Amino acid sequence: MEENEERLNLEPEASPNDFPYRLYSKINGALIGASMTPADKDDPEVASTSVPLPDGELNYAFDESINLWRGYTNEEWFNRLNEAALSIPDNNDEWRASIMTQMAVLNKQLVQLGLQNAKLTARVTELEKALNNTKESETN
Amino acid sequence: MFDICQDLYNKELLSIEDIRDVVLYSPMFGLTKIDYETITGQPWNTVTP
Repeated sequence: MEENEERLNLEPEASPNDFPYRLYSKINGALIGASMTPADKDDPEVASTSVPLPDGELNYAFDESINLWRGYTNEEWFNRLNEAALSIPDNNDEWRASIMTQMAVLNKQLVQLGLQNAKLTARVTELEKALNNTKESETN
Repeated sequence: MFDICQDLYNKELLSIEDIRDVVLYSPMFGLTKIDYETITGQPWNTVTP
């Protein structure tokens, strides 16, 4: 019984560095836990690395581009999570974006049509003039 | 309008070309060339319509 208690008390002492692999979120790199086996490569959410965690009391996230852990203070970590949450577009954002692009496309077409119309008007005027000239020369 | 455009650009719902088109062809939205430079970080004089 005493042995069991000792074992239980020892468990929280284990750090992620005591395991061969550390698991992190593929979405924001946040440390999830540690494992004896590497994570499934096809897992969309969890990945694993053999890079050890640095010493310190920061919030760690794995940066795949440099293959190292980055440390964040509590405030930085909070802001980082907030930004990630804010950067997910909702229906309202999609609606606004589509309206803006639609408006721009329509206005662009309107400008182009206006220019085309002006060109055609100039051409028609030229042709009318030429026609009048030929008519006049015929009657003369 | 600037805030909305910046927000949508950061969320990748508007591309850099979309922002340019809004500045060029949707003047009623009131987005200026300086806003374009602030949002995209690109100079306006490189823009081709």
